[in-house]
Amino acid sequence: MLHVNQLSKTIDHRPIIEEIDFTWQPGEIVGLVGRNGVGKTTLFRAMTNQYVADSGQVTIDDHDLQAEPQFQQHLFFIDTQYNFMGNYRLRELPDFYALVYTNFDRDRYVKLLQHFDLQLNDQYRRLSKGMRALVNVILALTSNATYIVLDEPFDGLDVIVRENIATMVIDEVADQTKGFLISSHDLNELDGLSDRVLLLKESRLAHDYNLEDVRATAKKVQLVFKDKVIPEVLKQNSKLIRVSGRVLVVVFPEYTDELDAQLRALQPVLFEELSLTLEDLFRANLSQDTGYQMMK
Amino acid sequence: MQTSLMQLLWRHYRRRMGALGVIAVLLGFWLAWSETGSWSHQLTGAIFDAQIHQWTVYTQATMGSLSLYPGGLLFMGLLVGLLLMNGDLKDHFNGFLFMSGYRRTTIYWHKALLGIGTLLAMALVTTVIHYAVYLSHLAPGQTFNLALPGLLTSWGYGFLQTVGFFTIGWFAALIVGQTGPLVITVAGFLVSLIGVVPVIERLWFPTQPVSAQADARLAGVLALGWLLAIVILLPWGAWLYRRLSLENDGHYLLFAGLRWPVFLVYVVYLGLIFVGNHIAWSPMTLIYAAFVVFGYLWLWRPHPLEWWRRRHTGIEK
Repeated sequence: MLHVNQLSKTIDHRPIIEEIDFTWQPGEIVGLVGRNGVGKTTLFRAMTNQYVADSGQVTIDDHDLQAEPQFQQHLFFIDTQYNFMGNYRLRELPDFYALVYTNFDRDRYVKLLQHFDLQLNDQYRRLSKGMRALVNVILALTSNATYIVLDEPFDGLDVIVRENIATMVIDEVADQTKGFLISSHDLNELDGLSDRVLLLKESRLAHDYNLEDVRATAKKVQLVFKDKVIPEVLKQNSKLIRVSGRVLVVVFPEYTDELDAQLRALQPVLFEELSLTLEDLFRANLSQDTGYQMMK
Repeated sequence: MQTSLMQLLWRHYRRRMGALGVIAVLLGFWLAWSETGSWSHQLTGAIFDAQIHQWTVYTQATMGSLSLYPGGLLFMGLLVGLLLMNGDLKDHFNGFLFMSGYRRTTIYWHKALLGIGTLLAMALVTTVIHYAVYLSHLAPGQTFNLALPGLLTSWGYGFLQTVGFFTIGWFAALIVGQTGPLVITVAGFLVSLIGVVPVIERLWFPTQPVSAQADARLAGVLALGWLLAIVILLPWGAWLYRRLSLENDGHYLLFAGLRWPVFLVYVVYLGLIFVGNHIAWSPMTLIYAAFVVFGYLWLWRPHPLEWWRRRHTGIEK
């Protein structure tokens, strides 16, 4: 088990991440979401020792990575913004990674490059943004590290390649020996991938969602009422996702039978349940207020 | 595991080190060839004086310019130190190394070992070429009377200086995160040393003329100075490397705690040398005051300077 324990990092006197605490098991695909600049990449860099954390630690099976850095070889991360690979050709990259990740699978690396029509002689920096992201994912998968961190892995990739990668990631966790921590703005992609989502808000870990549990209790509903007044029960129990004329789309984090009865008692003109997406949860939780204020 | 680390480092640096090796050889060849141009071919017999048989740094050269250690290697030492440290910061190899599972201290000393080892190899090859050029330029009747005491002492002193230059470049590149200012800072510091050494010489040997023995003794003092610098700076660098946090990449100073020492060394010290020979309240004193203020702003208040730079380079309108 990997444990990020009360990790904090301040940059230029500004706290970027504060007391981040979560655990992550092999077999899990954990999504990390949050608005731009909330500290997702800083969290990854602090976890992988590129940034020296102000406090807190990261442990793998109770081994502190600062005290026993050899356990870092179980954790894989490629910094998409700053990495050393620019001047190297794709055929040279395994020479580096195989020296760090002892189970690096060179044959599979070559096969995956061929599968995605990437040339071994291509220089990393000459690849498009999407192709570089693809090479990063291929390196991650072939590293055979236990804990794999992917920072915006789908950024710049076309839909076919995205689906291929998503399938590969799901296949990798099937035997419960690997885990993925994936940050993404493409919440729809994470929706199909993640079992669990961590929500970063204002430098802190605001929520740790188990999506199955959330879907069991939350509900997204489309409503139209007879008049323009928003019922109090709605204001108190839901978050407004979208409004179009008199059509309200709201998310109820805790939808109960009692709430259902109260809503139906209001005799809405339209009451339709919609499928709840990760994006809905993200919007509902990251808006500063419940959304109803803007309708005043 | 440590073998893998050395392989990893060598794999990353080998092209650069190879290129630097070629430069060292060419530079050594050119410098040795230039030195032979100053030789007096009227003199016959041994080209080295009797001092070559003593366990002192060889300083005599009656027939012209002669050296037992290729001087160009000092510059190569500086270059290797700068490239190993600054290169890893700029091409983000540090990031990969920091998550590679090796202790930072281990990485640091392996890198230093690789740098010094490469310099040793460069020095050996370049020395052979250096002597070969000398041999090829001997006039009839001249003999190449190399003797181990003078050779080993002078070569050892030369290599110590090379490692000293390496250490200065290495340490400066570890604490300064901007390549341009790093080069200016190191160049300024080294130029200041050229001015300081004659002052030490004058203090050490106030009476003239300076004899060969006195020259050799001075070399001994300087060797001690180099050794001291190496012994202090390399372990200090290891201590700092453990605390290097990459979010500071691009800042002038990578360690905020070093502002005062850097201010004292690079600003006050350089400034004093600059105006040292001038009387008080001369225009140079005012320039010096401006120099100190600039140093303060550069280290403690970089934002106005950065804003000014951006505005004048068109980055920010």
